[in-house]
Amino acid sequence: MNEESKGKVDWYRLSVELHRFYTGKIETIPKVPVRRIKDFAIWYTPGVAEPSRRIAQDPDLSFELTNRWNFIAVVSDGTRVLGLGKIGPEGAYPVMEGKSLIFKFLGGVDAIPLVHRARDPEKFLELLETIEPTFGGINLEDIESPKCFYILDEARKRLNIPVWHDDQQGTAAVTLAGLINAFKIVGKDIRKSRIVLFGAGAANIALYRLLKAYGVPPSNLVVLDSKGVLHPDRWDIDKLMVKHPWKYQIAIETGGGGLKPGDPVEKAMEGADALVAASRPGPGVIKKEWVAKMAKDAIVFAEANPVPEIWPWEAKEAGARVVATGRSDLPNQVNNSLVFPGVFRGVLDVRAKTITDTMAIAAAEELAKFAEEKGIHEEYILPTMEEWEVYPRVAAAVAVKAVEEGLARKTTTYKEELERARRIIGMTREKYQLLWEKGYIPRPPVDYEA
Amino acid sequence: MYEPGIVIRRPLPEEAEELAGLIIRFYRFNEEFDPAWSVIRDAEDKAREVAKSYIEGNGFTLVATSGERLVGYLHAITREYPMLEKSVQAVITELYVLPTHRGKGIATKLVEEAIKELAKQGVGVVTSEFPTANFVAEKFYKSRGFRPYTSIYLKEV
Repeated sequence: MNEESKGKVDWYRLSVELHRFYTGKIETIPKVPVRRIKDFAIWYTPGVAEPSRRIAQDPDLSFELTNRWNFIAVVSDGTRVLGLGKIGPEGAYPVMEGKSLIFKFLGGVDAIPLVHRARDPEKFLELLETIEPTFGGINLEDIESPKCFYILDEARKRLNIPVWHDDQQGTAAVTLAGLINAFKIVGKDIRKSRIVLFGAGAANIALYRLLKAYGVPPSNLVVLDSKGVLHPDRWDIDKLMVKHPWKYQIAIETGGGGLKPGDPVEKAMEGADALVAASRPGPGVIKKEWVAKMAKDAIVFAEANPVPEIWPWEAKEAGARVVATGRSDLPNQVNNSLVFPGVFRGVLDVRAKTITDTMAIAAAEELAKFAEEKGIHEEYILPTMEEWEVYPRVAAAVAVKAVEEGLARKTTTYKEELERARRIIGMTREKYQLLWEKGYIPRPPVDYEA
Repeated sequence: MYEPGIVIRRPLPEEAEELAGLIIRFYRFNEEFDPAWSVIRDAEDKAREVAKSYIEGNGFTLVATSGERLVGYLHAITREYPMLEKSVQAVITELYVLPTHRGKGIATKLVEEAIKELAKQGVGVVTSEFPTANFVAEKFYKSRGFRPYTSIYLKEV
C-alpha cells in the first residue's frame, strides 16, 4: 500500500508532518457510561471483583465480560517492514498503528500495535502464548521469511485464538480472489491451468498452499525463487530441506511443474495461463518477452510495490489479457485491506479458535463473488476499498465457514453475521464521523488535493 | 511402508556416474551442518573416482534403484577391535536418498539390507557416523533403534 505518489504529492513529507501533528493515529476511548465518579464502583472496584471472580472460574467468560471478543494485537518484530527491511520494532510502530487504524475503520475491530524485540522464533512464540489471554486474535505483520512460516504454523497450533499473518494469508487470499475472476473472464478452468508463481516469499508460498487447497494440482504450478525453479533435482535442494522446508515441500510436490532443474524463467513461462509475481519492485523484473511466451489470454499479476514487476501496459502489449497490480492508481488492485478487516470481524464474532486455509478460501470466494455480482471485466476483477459492503460480506462468509468447520465457539448464519458485521462496522464509522464533524479530530494543517 | 518397484542391490560398473552424483549430494547435504564438511569446488572428478572404488569393492555399498534410476545409496566400512567381544564393527558412513523418493522407506530398507548382509559377514555391531548437527540423520537412526555411542570431537589445525 506504500505506493508511489500520483501527481505531485510528496506522500513521505506529508506523512511525517501529519504524524507529528497528530502524534500517532489511534487512542482508546471508553464505551461505558461514566455519569459520575461513583460509576467507577461498577467499572472498577469494588464491583469489578465479581466479573473477575466469574472469569477466573470460566476463562471463556472473558470474551463476554471484557472487550477481549473484539480486541486483537498487530504484532511485529520489525524484521521485514514494507520494502524497508529489518528496521526494528520502533521503526515498525507507525506501520502497525496504521494497520490498527484500518482494522477499526473497515472492520470495527479494536486493534493495538505490539512491536517487540523477541526476534528469536521461539521467544516470539513464547510472547504470543504469554499475551494470548488479553486478545481475541493476533495479526502478525512484517516478519522476515522463512521465520514467518514457522511462527504462523506453530502459533496456529499453540494458541486457541485466531492467528493470521497478513503478508501470507491476506495477500494470498486477495490474489486467489483476483485469479478466480480473471480465469472466469478468459474462460479457462483455474484447476486445469498452468500457473507460474514468480517469487517465493511470504505471499507466494501462502498462495501456493491456497491454490492447492482450492484444487489446483501442484504439478500445474511452477514456483520460482531468485535462484530459479523450485525443483526436486535442484543443486541446493537438501539445503532447502534443512533451511527452508516450505520451499522444499513445494519443489517436491510440484516436481518443478514438469521443467528441468536448471530451466530459465522464459522456459517456465512457455504456455503458462497465469503468472503471479510477488517478488521485488520493477519495472523490468518481468520481461515483455516472457509474457509473450505465455498462453493466449494470459493473466498477469505483478504485485510488487511501489512499482510492479512489469507495467500493465507492457504486459498487455506482450499479449496479457487481464493484468493486476498492487497499486490503487491502476485497475485491479490486489489489496489485502479487502480481506483482513472482514476476516477478523467474522472470526471474532463467532469466537473462532483459528483461521484455516479453507476459511481464507471462503474469504477469497466471497470477494470474487462480490465483484462478479457487480459485473466483472478485464479492468474490474476485484472490489475496490470504497465498496463498503465488501467487509461485512467477507465477515459473513468467514464466520459461516468457521461454524461449518466446527472451529467456532458461537454459532451463526450468513444473514445474521452479515447484519451484525454491518451494524458494528457502520457504528464505528458513524462514531468516527461524529468526532470529525465536531472537530475533536482537528483539521490537518497541511493536505493534498483529493 | 516401502515403495514398490524399488530394488536394493550392489552397484554395477556402468553406474559409476550416477552413483558419483549421489555421493556429491550426500557430502553437500552434510556441509549444511558442519563447515568441516566443506566440499571442494568441482568435486565431480573426485566423486567419480570414489564411486568407482566403491563399485570395485572398497568398503560395502548398496544402491536403491527405481526402474533404471539410482535413487539412493548406502556406504559402510568395517573396523576391527580385537580386544572386544564383538570385534568387527560396521560403520555406515554415507546414506542418501533423492528428495523425490524420500518418505517411502527406502533409507530404512537400505539400512536393513546392509545390516542383514553385514551380519552374515560376521559383523556384530553396526554404527553410523554423521555431523552432530545433522538432526535429520539423528532422528532417522534413533527411531530405528540406534543409540548414541561415540562422541567425536574436532579441532581444526
